[in-house]
Amino acid sequence: MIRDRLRYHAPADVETACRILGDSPSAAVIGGGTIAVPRLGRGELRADDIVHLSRAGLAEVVLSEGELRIGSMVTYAGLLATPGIEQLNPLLCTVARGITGGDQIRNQGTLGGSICHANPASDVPTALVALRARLVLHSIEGEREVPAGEFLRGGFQADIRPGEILTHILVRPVDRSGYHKFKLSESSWPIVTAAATLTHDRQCHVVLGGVEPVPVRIDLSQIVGTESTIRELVAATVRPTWSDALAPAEYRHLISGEIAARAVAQLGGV
Amino acid sequence: MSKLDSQDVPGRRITVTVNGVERRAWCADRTLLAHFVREQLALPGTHVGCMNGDCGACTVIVDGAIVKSCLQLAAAADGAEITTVEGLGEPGNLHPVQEAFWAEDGFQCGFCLPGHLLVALKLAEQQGDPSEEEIRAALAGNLCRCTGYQSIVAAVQRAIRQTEGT
Ligand SMILES: Cc1cc2nc3c(=O)[nH]c(=O)nc-3n(C[C@H](O)[C@H](O)[C@H](O)COP(=O)(O)OP(=O)(O)OC[C@H]3O[C@@H](n4cnc5c(N)ncnc54)[C@H](O)[C@@H]3O)c2cc1C
Ligand code: FES
Ligand code: FES
Repeated sequence: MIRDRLRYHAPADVETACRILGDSPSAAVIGGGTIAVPRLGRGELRADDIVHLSRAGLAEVVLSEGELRIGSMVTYAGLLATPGIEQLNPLLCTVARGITGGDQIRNQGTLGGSICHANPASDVPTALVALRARLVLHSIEGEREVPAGEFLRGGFQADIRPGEILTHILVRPVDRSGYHKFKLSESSWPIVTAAATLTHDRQCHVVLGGVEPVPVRIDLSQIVGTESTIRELVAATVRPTWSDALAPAEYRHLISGEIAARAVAQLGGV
Repeated sequence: MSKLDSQDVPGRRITVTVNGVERRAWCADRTLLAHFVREQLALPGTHVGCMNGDCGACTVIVDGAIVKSCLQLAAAADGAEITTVEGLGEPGNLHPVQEAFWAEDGFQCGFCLPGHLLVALKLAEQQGDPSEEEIRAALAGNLCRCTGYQSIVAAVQRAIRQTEGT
């Protein structure tokens, strides 16, 4: 159970949510709650006020002018239920289907919550960096937009200022994409993740997660796309600077080239 | 409300429709949905194992979607429709999904059973004829420390056949 005598708020709009955040000496935002609620229970997250975004109108995916505008409360299941999403963004669909913990977690966990938590081992940060997603952050002072690659500052460190909430994730389509994650068992956290993209102007990149504190982008456009050169380039580029309970940094570094090559292979020849 | 909570912590009255019956009850704002269902609504069929989203014993259906009720605050469920294992059947009048678990020995100690039953119910309600692989994938969020899953998969397959026949 939660020991803090917290007060629950489910504001009906973003402005009110930001006002409550601004007014409270110690407030925490909850999205789907799949990370935040157990952390409250363990006392790792302390709060007087909980701002739950469930009723703030952020659970929609909208397509406008070729760009997907994903509300920060869109769950993995909500994303997958969006008409046409498989064509619009197969990479995010692969990620959403591959989230472990059963339909329950896919029904509850949000893409927004995942990127805000900034766990280097998570799936969503790698994918959003690969897609060059932009994140819309709102506070009583106004709105700002931050590229996903800059939003992630370090392991478990996201660029969210006090009083800010993430409201939307903006993504544009790429021509082709591939995703591979290495995990030890069905319900294990990913150890290394890789998302490969080929853009309409023929730029080929792979982004690796779980190797350094933040996802690492590697430009493959300069090399002939054989698997061995990809492995060598990746091994020479990423630094073994992240480890967690599942695997040490050296191991992550060792397998990163292979995981990257598997993601790139899904592009179907570049 | 946990047994430790009196009404001097921030809280509210919420209204939920549980297993078809409208219930109004007080909950502390910090109360997890799992504890609210078990203690405040006196429906202890929902089990609490890990409190971390891993085991699935606390699975309930909220507004048509299966969720792990240890990951949700009860206050968030105000106005929701909830199905717990008590909504399925009762001794002497088991639901077809429960009959299937009984027939296939789909449990031993029974701790994981409420979660498995509700996942099986959702699966049986869906159209189509899932493969064994799809059934195992659907059960991936629910852990069992006794059966080894073989009999659970058989129970779900039987549940799907029996539901088709009704
Ligand atoms: C059993 C289980 C299996 C899992 N499997 C996977 C997996 O395979 N891959 C994976 O990547 N992850 C996995 N997760 C981790 C996680 O649950 C998900 O990634 C999920 O998407 C997190 O989102 P949430 O909405 O539940 O976050 P929350 O718990 O609501 O929030 C997480 C953090 O972000 C902050 N936050 C949330 N939303 C906002 C917002 N809009 N603005 C500002 N701050 C915000 C919160 O304050 C909190 O600090 C798993 C979790 C469980 C319990
Ligand atoms: S008690 Fe909720 S998943 Fe284990
Ligand atoms: S029957 Fe004992 S945990 Fe599943």
